[in-house]
Amino acid sequence: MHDLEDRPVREDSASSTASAVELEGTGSRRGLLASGIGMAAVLAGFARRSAAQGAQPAGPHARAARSLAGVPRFLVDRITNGWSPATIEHAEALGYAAYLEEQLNPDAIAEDANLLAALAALPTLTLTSKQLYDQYVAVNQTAVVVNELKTATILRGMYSTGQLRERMVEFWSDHFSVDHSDGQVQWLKTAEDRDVIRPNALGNFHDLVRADARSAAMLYYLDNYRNFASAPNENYARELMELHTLGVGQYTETDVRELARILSGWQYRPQANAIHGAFFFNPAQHDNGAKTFLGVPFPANGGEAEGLLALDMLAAHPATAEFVSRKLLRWLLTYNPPQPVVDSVARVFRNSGGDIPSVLRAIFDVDLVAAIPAASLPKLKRPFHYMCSLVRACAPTITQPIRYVNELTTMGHRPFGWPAPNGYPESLEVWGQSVLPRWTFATRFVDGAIQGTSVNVSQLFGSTPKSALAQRANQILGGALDPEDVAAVQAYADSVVLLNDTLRRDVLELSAQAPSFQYV
Amino acid sequence: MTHAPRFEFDRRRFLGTSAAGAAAAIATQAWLPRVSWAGTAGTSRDTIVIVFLRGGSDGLTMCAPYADLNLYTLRPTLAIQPPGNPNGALDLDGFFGFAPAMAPLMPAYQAGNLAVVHATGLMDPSRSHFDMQRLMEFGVSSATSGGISTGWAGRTMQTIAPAGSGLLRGMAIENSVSRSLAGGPACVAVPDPANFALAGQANTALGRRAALTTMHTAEPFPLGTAGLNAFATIDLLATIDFVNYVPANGAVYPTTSFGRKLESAAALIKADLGIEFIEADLGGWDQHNQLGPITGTMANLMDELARGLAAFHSDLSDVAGTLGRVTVVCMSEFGRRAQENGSAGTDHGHGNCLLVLGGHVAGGQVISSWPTLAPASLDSGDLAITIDYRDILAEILTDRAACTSLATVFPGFVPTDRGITT
Repeated sequence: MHDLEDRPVREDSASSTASAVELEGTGSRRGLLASGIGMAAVLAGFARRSAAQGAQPAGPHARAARSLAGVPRFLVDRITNGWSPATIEHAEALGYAAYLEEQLNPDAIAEDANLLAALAALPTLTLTSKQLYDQYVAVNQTAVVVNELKTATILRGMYSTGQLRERMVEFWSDHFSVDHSDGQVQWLKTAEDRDVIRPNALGNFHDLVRADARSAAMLYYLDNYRNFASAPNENYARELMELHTLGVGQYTETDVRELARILSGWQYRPQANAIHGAFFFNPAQHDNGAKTFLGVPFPANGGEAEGLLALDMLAAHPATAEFVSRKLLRWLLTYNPPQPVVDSVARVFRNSGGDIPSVLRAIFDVDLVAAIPAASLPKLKRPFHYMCSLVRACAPTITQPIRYVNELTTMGHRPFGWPAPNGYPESLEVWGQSVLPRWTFATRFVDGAIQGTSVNVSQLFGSTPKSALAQRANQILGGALDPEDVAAVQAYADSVVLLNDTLRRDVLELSAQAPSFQYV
Repeated sequence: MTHAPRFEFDRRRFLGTSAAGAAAAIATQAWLPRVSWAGTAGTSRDTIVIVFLRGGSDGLTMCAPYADLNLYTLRPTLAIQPPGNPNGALDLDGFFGFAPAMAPLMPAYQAGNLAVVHATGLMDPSRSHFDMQRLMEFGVSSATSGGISTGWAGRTMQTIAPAGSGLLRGMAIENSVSRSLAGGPACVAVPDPANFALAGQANTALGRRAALTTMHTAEPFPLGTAGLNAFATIDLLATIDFVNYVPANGAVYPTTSFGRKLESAAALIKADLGIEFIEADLGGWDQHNQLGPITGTMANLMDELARGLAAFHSDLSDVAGTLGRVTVVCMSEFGRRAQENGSAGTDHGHGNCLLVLGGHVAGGQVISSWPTLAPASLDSGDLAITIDYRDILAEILTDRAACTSLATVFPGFVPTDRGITT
């Protein structure tokens, strides 16, 4: 995300020293080795802690990420919203390449039946914008429309078998961000999510740009629906280039104004219309004059076609390939993709004509991942990912998924809730400097404080003795924890006298709050 | 000036030994901290409150240059009319006037505690929200931004000793630490200071906290620092009863998120925890259509801003003279285009106004070297910038925040004194 700092914030010298000491190996780490926890896990811990130091050069302990390309677990970490026993079993049965292919074609796999049933209970998802307006908005039920889409997004993130699609829907929803609370977006977003973002999330980038430019939610949010020949509004034109395609610095202020003229008259049918929300080109509001855009002359009277041409120019522009490729690499692999890696993915982006599966195959190419220093692979889960990963690992009963909207809001990650057109940031610094909301979520989740949610710790822990509670919690969470974190949690368990569900809850909650569980 | 923490500080004893009027009057307030730092009264260091108006606020509406008649050519439907007209400007100095919705700030202006700086901003050519927010919060221009990913406030704190214990130096009353504070030691994001505690059962809290402390002590930036800062902040905030906080002088904050942020900030400042920077933002200024300068979105936002800052001003004008150790800087990434657009709104522009409020502000004036809105004077159609916003920050940091390393805080920039402080 170009809008946020690309480099980690320098850590102050005090904490730098502390972590350096830690990396040298402390008594507790030696103790862990002696107690038989595997070397691989220890190395994984080293890698994550070193990597999190960001700007610092990789130290002698930066040997490996938790899992590497070629290993199904790597994909489970990167293309799903979290490990679960069923997910890893399935991925390992298929193998690295076949699991990736399966996830690139989610329509070919059966959707989770419980998810389908839960989605079927959200009637607004399948309605047209006109129906939504008449049946909900006009009778002061707009909140139902908004909440059902957010709930569906949460449910799919937690449970869909097409996990990569959900990760990509999240990515594109930020890339083409519209603020769900803004005016008509409240109901137009439902169709945009269903008809623009989701069908194209694993499709072609050119189609996505074209569809998004004509979607009512975007036309409304960035004001292009009121961009008229006589009264230009350049809001969308600018963000289309800055955020959706070229990236900042690749166009002039004149290009912004010319593109606004080119896209004037692009509108959607208003609420009273039977096909409310449908795109239409209004020649009466289109600027018919000649234009020059990105150095290319656009003759007079270009009509709707000149807008489509401009969109294609933008989607096919080399700067777009690089900008989007870098952003995808940041999303899926590393905060700091090396330039040669960006270049090779951007080449695939261009050569494939923006074919998203081709680009994702390139990103998960085993050799490409191997070219990235292992120490810079670890990535912090954003709150949505964190929430889903905890749910997927613990398999709770959830009867009121809507409650998770507020949980995400408290963590600063309300679905479609970012108030600016650049989408939620993808940044270690932004999300990593606020941990208490995550801790609170973990506690509320495990303790059953979220209405309608219950985590069955008796079942999860079974007959695990008190002396092995932390190890068992780590297993429940997919083995994501560093040995130091497991030891700290076990020390807590050791300090408590009675083995009961309260202790099991505390152990699970602390494990979910562990720094190592915040990363993939 | 450093202060040794006195955790054993006992409020009853404090009351018993401190009969002096002001202190006792404050100490009887129920919300007061149960823990305090000795000897902080009379500190010459201000708490700097940063209010970032995200989205690009329209300075030509907020503080209209009504005497520059070009305004009415550029904005035939949106311009605030001169004073004396219906919905006319509230005159500030015979040239500039506040939009009517800014009226709540007139008392602070007239009391000499509020200054406006106009035709200011960052002279970078970008009109991107995200570029300009990043650069302005980092305190750099694109030419000097190389390798810098810390904020101007964060770098200030890196270069000076803590004003208090050092456990909590910067707080963003936001979901994440803002970029202005980035890199600053002991900086935390606290979305709601009244609700910042370790969740879960109280009888296991100590043990759970010990485990989390162990895990985060071993953890590098950012999570390690964030975890330890969280506990330090939990302890400090636990000493303040935000719920029963009563603003001074009957000040009434807007019942909005922004109003609550400012009210929390006032309680934090009065509790004298040694916090050096507080960020409390107000977004929503990107008004490409239907600006609504008199009634509408812009008017509502200005009203929220003005009532919030006015309540803050009134609340801090207490018997202890709290306003004397606070400076508020209210800024945005850019102003709007001088000419209104076709949607009764404005597109991205350049120069803007900036508000400075506090007890040591050279208030009651609009500081400006007005470039005029004449066609030849515009910068790509926008209000030109004649005062770099860093001039203002530099002076505040030097005079009110004990900053002695401006070259580190604003690398490659030589500030000009604009006389914003007294």
